[in-house]
Amino acid sequence: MDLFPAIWVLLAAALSALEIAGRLGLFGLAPFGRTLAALRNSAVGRAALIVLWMWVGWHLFAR
Amino acid sequence: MRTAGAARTRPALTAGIGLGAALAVAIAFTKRFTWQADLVTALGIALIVLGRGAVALRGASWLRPPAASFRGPGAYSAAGVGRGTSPEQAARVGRAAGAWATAAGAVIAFELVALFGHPRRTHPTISSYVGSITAHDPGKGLLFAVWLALGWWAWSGLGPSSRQPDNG
Repeated sequence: MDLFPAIWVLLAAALSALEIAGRLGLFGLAPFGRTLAALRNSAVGRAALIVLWMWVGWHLFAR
Repeated sequence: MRTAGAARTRPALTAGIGLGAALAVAIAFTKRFTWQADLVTALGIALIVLGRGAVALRGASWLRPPAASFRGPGAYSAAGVGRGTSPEQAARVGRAAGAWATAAGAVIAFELVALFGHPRRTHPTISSYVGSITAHDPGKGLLFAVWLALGWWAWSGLGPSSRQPDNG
């Protein structure tokens, strides 16, 4: 396996472990969705999420 | 019991979902870097922005998600730090945000390293993997629908009574 795909797999595994730890409430962590929900409740966080959402859509489907 | 406002808004919501589904089908038949793809994507953004705007203006509070305060072991309020949260909850939000921000930073850093690497086959980026999904029409349409749903979520909670008191 090439190095870069292997590192992507490792990163995906780390993110999954973080999500599981958050769902189990380990180390005081929280799941990704809850963290985003908290972020969304501030004006700056919401604006950042909206801009990110628009950019992702434009990048994936248009340009 | 359904309120009068809910009864008025439900057909509009159904129409919005139908329109979103139609756009998801339409995007499957477009190719990137064409005006058709630009148009359908722009219509998707407009659908979410106008839909959320209409909901906020009509005060259809039943459509908005409740203030996401969840309790129980390891729970913290999603109502925001400083909005009736205890120092313990605030610390928890900070820890979680820090952990996810670190993870996101690692992903972005590696994405940049991969982006400037060649050839793409041995240096894949996130777009390379997503591209393998959008290369197929059904996958592209499904991903578009997921993107619209995320947009609906991201834009939610707008309006005068969107923030409900956290009873925790």
